[in-house]
Amino acid sequence: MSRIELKLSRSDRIYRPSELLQGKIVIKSPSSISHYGIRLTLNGSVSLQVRGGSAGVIESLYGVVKPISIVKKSVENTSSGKITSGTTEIPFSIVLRQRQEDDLERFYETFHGANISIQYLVTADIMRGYLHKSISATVEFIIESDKADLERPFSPEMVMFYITQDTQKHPLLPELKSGGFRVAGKISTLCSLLDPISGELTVETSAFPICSIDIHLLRVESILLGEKIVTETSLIQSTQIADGDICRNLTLPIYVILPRLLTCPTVLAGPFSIEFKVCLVISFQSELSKLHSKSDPTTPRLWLAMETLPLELVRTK
Amino acid sequence: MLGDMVRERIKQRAEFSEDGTQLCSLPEKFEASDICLGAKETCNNWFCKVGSIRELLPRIYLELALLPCWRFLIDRPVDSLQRLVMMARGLGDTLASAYCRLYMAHCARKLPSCGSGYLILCIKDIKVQLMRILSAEETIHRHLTNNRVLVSLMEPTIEYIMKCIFKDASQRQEGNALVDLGLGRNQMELFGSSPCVSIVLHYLLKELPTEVVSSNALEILHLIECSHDYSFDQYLNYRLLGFRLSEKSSQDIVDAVVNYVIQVLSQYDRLDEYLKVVDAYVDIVLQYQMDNHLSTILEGISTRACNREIVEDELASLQSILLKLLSHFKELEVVFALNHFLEILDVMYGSSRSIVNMHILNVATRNGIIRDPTTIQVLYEISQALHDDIDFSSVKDADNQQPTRLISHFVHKVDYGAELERHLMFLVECRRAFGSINELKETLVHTSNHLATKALKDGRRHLSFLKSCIAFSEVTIPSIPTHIRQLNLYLETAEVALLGGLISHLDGLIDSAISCLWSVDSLDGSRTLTDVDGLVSTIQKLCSLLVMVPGNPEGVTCIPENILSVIATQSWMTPRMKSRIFCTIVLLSATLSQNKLPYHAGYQEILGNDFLFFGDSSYIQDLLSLAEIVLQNLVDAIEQEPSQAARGSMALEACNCIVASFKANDNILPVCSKLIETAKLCLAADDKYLQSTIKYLDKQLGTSLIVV
Amino acid sequence: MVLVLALGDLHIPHRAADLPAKFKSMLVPGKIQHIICTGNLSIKEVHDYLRILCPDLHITRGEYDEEIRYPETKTLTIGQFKLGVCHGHQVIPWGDLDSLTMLQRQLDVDILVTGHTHQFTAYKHEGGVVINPGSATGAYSSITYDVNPSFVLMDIDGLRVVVYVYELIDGDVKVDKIDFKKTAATTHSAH
Repeated sequence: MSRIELKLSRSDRIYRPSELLQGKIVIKSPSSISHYGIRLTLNGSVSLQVRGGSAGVIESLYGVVKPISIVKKSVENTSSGKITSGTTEIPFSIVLRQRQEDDLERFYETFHGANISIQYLVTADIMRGYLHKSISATVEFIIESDKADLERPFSPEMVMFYITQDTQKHPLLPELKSGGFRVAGKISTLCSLLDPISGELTVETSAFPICSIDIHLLRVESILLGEKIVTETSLIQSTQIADGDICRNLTLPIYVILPRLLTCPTVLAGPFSIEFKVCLVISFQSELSKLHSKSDPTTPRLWLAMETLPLELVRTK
Repeated sequence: MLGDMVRERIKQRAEFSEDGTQLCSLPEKFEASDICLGAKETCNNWFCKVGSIRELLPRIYLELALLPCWRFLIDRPVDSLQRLVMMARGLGDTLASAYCRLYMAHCARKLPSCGSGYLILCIKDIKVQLMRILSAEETIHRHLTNNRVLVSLMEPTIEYIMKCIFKDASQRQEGNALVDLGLGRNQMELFGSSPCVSIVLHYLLKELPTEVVSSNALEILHLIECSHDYSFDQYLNYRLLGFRLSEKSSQDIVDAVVNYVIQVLSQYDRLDEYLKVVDAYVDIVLQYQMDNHLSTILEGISTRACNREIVEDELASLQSILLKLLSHFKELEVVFALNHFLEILDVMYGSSRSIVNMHILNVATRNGIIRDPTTIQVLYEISQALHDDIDFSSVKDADNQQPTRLISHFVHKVDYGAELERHLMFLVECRRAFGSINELKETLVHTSNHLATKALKDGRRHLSFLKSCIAFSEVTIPSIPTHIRQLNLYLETAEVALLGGLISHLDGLIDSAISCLWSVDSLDGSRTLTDVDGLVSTIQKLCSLLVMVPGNPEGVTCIPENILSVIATQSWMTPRMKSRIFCTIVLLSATLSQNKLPYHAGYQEILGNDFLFFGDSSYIQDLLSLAEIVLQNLVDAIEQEPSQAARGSMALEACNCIVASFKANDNILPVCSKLIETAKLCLAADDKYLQSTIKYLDKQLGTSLIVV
Repeated sequence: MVLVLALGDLHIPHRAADLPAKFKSMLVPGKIQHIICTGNLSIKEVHDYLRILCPDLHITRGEYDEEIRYPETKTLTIGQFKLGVCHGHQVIPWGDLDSLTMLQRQLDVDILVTGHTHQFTAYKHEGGVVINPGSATGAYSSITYDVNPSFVLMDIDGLRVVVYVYELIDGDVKVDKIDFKKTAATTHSAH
């Protein structure tokens, strides 16, 4: 049996839209093969899907939304001929984005979310006429935006926050309410994907003992469905920064490394958007909490105090 | 462990390409720019993995384990360390966070110089946590013991981190300068302006460089004064300051500190605490000759220690303090004269007491003779106390050796000078008090004999004193366990009796010596060869002594005959020993038969046998017949010797002895030629002894008959 | 040139507290190559003291020595001389030249060093030299309590030995010198 394989020039398979996608087609065949040409097909698209979840029952009826194409082109890499037996390597090189094209915004970064998936594939086909099935191989490559090159130097932004019994929108345990607490600090709201979310946090007062303080990273995927926007929020990472009843007035650092496969630059496109949020959750020591140990930690509870802040992620060099 | 494995893996990725060829070799002090992208990528992945751990504690530990890997990414990973220190604050459990910091200090040592800033921050955080525990305790008393345990569990972490801070500082030159200059700004920051936690203060004080301690002693003293919490006993910090100042300090600082501490001490009621602090300052007080403080301290100990039970800990401190005093003063009299010293010594007991006692005796016997009667009396009592503590039933002699030896030394060193009677009295007391020390009894006999000769030397007539001395020796000797030792001591006493002209004692002593000889047999069978040699030598000595001893009425040959019967009855006597003793008696007979003896008793009133029996033919006849009997025995003994070489030299020895003793006559010549024959059969012809003996015989006998 | 210190009968501490101070100041470590001690030291501390003066130490056993492992007699060779050591309480009668030469023949030595009498003597006879260094502390002896402290220093150089006697008389150290020469004949007379 003949086998075909695509090998990309970069082991991490990360390319920028302005770069050439390079690599080689490796064919291993016990016998020689005649063909009508070898064709490479580039395909980038955003697939949107609405799965039940928070979207509700009605939206789920809509099912899959038609994908949005980013790029689709096909080039003949090799004209018809014959491939000798054994291992044959054929180099290739494809321009990802034509200079004159102005749809710069369209080259979204590769992303695999819950409802939104942005994927780039390259396929090689050895065309062998009607009598034979064409031999083909597909490989995914990753697009990282080169938008940063064009913009002014990046400067991260932080925001001050404070959390008290009065900033909470949900009901609290009466003793929490009466005892009072105040946690203050600052945290990134604009952050490079390469840097950790940074900041600091100080428990200034708390009459009630603290059990844990966590930073939850949330991802918000929104899809425009007709007139409606369907939004799905998922928890992608939790980081504990305080374990137990810590000392008051000691500053704790906030340092959250962004999970590479679960994040991408914040995208606000017409038909869809991908956004992020950080949620600070202070849980107080309470017997009640043990009953709900497996529930979503960002759900408001009587023994939790929380603060959710938007987080814009950008690609920097 | 994991950290090392990851490090190695990344290092490999940096040095080798994927197909295994070596790209480069990383130097010991590589920089982040030396590392290829692939390796950095791997390293980064690891840190991302760490970042994805939700729980704080494992995340910190893992990052600490991987801490050295930061070097692949950045040249100065100090910032991460700083962040980790702060992250550890998130650990609400005091103990967990303390040990986390300990691990941090440990891991950071693998990084190139990070300074001590992060460690100082660690200590500060620990301090904050401790303060929280300590203040909480004040309200909730039931946690007291729990919290004490907690503090004691945290102690090692504080100690270790503190050590790291100063170890780091001393390693680097600029670090040193920093410590020197920056105490106020840098190290002292650890104390902070707020009240300090005493346990932290303790370990800081322990590790601070000596110079810093001595130049900031007053500030430290102030801090100790202010930090009075239960995390660490305040008195122990005073104590530590004392020890640290003993290393190096100056007069004015020491004055101020000691003045203050003495004042603090005066408030202490507990003997244990009092002693522990005093122990630390004794050296300083002595070194700077603060005599008034010394007496205050001794007074203080005395009032707290007397009339109450002293416990083990206190004994140890007392021991340490007293030993310091003893090693400081060269003159024992000065120590004894210190107010309360002897009182304090008296409250001690057990092994501590014995150790101090031994030390005192050691000092006493180190510096020559002890003359002062008061000192002698004190030392005597100390020896008694020491003696009472010796466990004579103990199987291990080594335990008792030192005290018994010291007591013996002390008795030796005592000298009442011209007051000989007083000295003898002292010996009598010692015999009574230290009767169980065998070693000492010999000392007593030697000393009393020495006293007797001293009296003689004075030229005064102390007949009764002499008699007392001799009687003392005579009474003491039988309690000495070894017969050979007894024998030698009887002989010494007999010599002294001879020197003093005490004939009646002399006879008794020689009789006792002979009966010792008879008893030698009853000794155990494990007699060593050297002992046997020593015994033969002593018999020889006895014979030489007999030269001076006037013959008793039973006849001049009475004692030698007695010796001969001992030989005849003792089965363990070898032919070699017998032949030597026979030779000895032959020589004795010859000596005694001379008209003028080679030496006489030192005391002129004792007449030698040469006077007593001058011209007495039966006297000469007795000696001659004795010699003839012995001669025959001698020849027989030689024949019995199984070893050829020994037989040869015995024959020569006998030959020499015979030729020296007898005038050449027909009876002697055949004996000699027979002996020479025996020797020739047994020894090589060119044997030097054989040659020289033949030559000697030729000359003495005036004949060459026996030279073949 | 080899310096040999010969001494004995110290009887420390039984008959004397220590060596005379004047002797002690004369005896300094590093000057002497060998020490010959006839015995009766009597305690270990004296042994240790001598050892500090010179580690090459040869001791025979006196009847009051604590250490019973010292031998009764000992011989050693220094340069051209063969030396013999014995305490001398075994000799009958004590200090008798005839008896000592018997011992000398037995040990086959050129120089015989003995003690016990606490009187310095040095005899030269055809068989060689017999030396008694006396008592280094002036301890009383079996015969007399009137003893001057003395010791002997031998300077052995080739076939010549110079014996220096140091005696403490009324608080002053008196030094005497006796010169001996060994003839080649005495060593090889046996052949």
